[in-house]
Amino acid sequence: MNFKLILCAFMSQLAVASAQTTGPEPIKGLFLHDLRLIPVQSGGRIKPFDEFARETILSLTDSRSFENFDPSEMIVSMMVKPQQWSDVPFIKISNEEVRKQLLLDPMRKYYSPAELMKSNAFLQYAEGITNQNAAAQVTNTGVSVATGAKDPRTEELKRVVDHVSRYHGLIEGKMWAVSPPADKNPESNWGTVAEGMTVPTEQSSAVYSLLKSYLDQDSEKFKESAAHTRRSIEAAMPGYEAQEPKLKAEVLYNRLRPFLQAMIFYLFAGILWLFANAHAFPRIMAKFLTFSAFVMHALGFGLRCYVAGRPPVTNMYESIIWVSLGVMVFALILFSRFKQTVLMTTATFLSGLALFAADSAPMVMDPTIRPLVPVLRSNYWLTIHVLTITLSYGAFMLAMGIANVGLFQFFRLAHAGSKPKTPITQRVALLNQLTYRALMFGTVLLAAGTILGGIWADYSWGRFWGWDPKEVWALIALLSYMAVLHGRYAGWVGTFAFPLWTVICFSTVMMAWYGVNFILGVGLHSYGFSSGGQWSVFGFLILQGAYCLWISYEHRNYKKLA
Amino acid sequence: MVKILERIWKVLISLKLAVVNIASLAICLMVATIIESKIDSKTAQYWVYQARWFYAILTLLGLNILAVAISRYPWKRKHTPFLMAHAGILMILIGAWLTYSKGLDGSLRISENEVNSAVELDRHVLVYTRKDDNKSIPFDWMPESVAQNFKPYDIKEFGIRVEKFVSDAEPKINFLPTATPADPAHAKSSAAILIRILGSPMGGAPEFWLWSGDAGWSTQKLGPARFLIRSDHQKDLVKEAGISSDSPEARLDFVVNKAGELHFEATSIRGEIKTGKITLSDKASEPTIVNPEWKMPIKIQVKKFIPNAVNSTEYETVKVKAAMGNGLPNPAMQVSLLSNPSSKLWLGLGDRAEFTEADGTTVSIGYMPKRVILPYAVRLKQFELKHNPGTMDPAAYSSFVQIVDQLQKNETEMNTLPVHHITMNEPLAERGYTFYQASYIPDFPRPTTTILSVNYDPGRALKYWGSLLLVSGAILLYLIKAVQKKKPTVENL
Repeated sequence: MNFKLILCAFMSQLAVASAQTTGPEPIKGLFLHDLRLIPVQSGGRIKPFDEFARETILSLTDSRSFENFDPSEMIVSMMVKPQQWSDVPFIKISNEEVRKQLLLDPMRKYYSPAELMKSNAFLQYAEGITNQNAAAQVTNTGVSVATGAKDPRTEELKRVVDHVSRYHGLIEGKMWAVSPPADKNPESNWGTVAEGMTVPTEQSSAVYSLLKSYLDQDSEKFKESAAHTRRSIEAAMPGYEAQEPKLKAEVLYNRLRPFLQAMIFYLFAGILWLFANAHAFPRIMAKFLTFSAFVMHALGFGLRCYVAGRPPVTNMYESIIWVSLGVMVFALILFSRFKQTVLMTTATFLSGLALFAADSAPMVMDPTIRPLVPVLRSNYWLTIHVLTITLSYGAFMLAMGIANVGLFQFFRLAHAGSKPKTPITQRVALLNQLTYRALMFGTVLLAAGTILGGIWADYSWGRFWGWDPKEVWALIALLSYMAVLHGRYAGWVGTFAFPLWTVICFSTVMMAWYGVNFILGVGLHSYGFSSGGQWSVFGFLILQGAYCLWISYEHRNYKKLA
Repeated sequence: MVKILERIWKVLISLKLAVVNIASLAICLMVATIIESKIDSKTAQYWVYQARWFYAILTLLGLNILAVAISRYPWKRKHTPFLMAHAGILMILIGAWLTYSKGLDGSLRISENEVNSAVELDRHVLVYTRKDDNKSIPFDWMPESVAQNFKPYDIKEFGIRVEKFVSDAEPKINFLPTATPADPAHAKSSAAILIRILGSPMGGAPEFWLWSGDAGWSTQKLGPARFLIRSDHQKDLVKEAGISSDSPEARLDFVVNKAGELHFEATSIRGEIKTGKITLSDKASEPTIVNPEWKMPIKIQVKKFIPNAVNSTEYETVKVKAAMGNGLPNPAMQVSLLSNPSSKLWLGLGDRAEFTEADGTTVSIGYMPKRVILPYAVRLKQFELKHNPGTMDPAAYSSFVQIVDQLQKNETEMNTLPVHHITMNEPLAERGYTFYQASYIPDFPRPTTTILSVNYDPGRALKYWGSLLLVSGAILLYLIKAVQKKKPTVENL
């Protein structure tokens, strides 16, 4: 083997190790309460420093926290010790080709800003991309322009360049807006820390003493100056009284991570529900865990509503939270009537997995609370329309889950051998009834939600129906389920075909929910457009398709024998 | 005969027809959204949403529902939810048809302090004007795949032939020499030059045409420099173009004298004037360069000079659709006179072209969006755009408008009219028409032209009541099923 290569690999390992040992460390026992609560103007709204820090760290490292640092402390540390931080490898380059293009060590995934800035190849690309962006800004009129096919390498490069330039913006103090405007106009821009260097304000000097105390590792002084900074910004900020509880709620929401906790509880509860029929203890535990998870889930949803000042239904992340809550609500309603633990098993697993999906990809599903685009503002029709439609997705998701369990019964039936078959057929009938009930909720809500969308569009634009892809796909989903339900009534869709088609129809919901925004990318609902996650969704669809084919095959063989 | 009718009836009331109908509708819609994603929404409208067969499916669905509902006659109490839901769908379908056939859905553009009453629709017309004769016929858009097989098509009553059609066109402007300066078909024959700016501080080497044929083409501004072309006898063009001579700018005038020679007259910001004659060399190795001796290190290369040129705009299919930014590109067509097939002219949407017939009569053909004139005019008093704090993202936009009944009213009278506020989600209803804030034309430093969407919808009430019936019927249907405690039926698998 090539000796040089081994040496290189060894050296790079060493470099990582050394960077980690000499990297900045958090100060122990620092009082961060006031720092987290400092109001910051960023991304079109006022948010607590804690949230600003998390968003900034997300935009630097693709994750909302980094190692053992508190996000707020990390931002302060970065601004105080830029030399040290510039050597910390926190910028992720996941595309191997990009790493090679930048002439970086392709064995690593994380690189430090200093390392990237030293790379001539990187600087050249950065310049090229910045020029492109400048050109793009000229044509951009606020509406996203379709750019056609995207090269993943260019996207990755753009992302890396953006990370590095954000990092520089941060350490130069251009990101942190601290000084509320003198004119007290809530629409005016706040002055940044960098601007405070040329024209000092009370707030910017307070921030300097805060940064200074951090550099001196003076915990007492730090606590004092953080409180002072917070007070002076609050005093200068227009309408602080109305904002204060929201800022506190947002810090609570960030630190509590309610959806993460709910997810863990749901998944444990799901496992326990599997054994809930046989034993009393898992049943009690499962009920308790489900209850806790549901409360946490609902609490998180409520907190998010309160902080954002609107129901969280405008992007993929928010809708997953709402849909998984819907799954639980429908499951609980049906459970109260039918007392079937299979409902709870399915629902807790579905909700848990959905929350896991939402939490695991912050770059695809942005968890940040952002202001609404004009068309979505000040309108309760929006709220009702979107909540209704997405709630129906929850019902369809539950139906899909139960139908999948139902399909599994046909595998059991095919392999029952000489065992009695009546329990299995009874089970199938019961599961089909539960699926049908879930579909009832789904179809009524989807029909109502689609019509409400029409009413909203009529009210806002004077157009009840405009064949917009999002509304068309909602209609397609409704029509597909309607075809199945009418087919069942007509005798075309039997005991086996019903769960099978229910599962297949869920792909139309996936298309209406995810596909229109992420794959088709056209139409008036463009405020939700994004990219990423295709492979997970395709993976799900392929798995689901394979499962359906397999069960169909088993069932056919069984029927041939019978 | 009766047997056939009976059979048709049997098919119409069958549930299986409904299933087939619903499923095929779903599949058609899927295809339509894919067309929209791959091509554009106009094409999806053409092939599916506005297509006759699509309406046939919807009609069949309506007939199916109607027949099934009638077949249950005499209706019993238990039929109520079923009847409600299905009557709801029928009402929505009829309402949609009323909107489609009798309604109005267009847009109205108004700039601040201006009035407008012409609502532009999404359909296009060809307008024919000859002396006092005014005619128009619809000429709707067709997608590229259809336009490629477009056969020249005669419109006898207009005396014209449509030679070509381009669905998504972009203009390609060129200046061509004319045989004689007084070609009657091309009244506007004037001098044109193609110049290229070298050493521009703004980067690049911009290249553009200057043409003395009209004021819009004769001048071009580039930073503090202004370029102009004029004939010797056209000195007043400077004033015509609205340029005051005292503005602090570097000027370069290209002057064509009666002999057809090209001269230049360069004026620096401080008023120093330099003049000279330009002779174009034939050799590519010796480009003709004009040095105006301004403070900026700019030199001008004269690439072409045509003493008698006509503006010839041709349209071709856009290369990159995305590059058009906001809106979709417009269509264009080439037309010729039936009496004079060589007189081909291009018309982009919104353009008007003039032909001269053999007897000297002027015929004008316009390719225009279809317009509907409102019984009153709307005046934009002010347009307002608000941003999210600390960003340039638009947060809200609204128009302050007035309804003007007589256009003769003067400015001061109009200012006293009541002002209505139209904003997102807050429309204005006025005598049957409803005005919505749809969009605006971006401009610097602030946008001043609003785009309102204007709507008249006779099917609205039917659609709303139908929706209510459908949803409440469905809820009732399921509620009754949920209340009936039926044990799940175990079938033999």
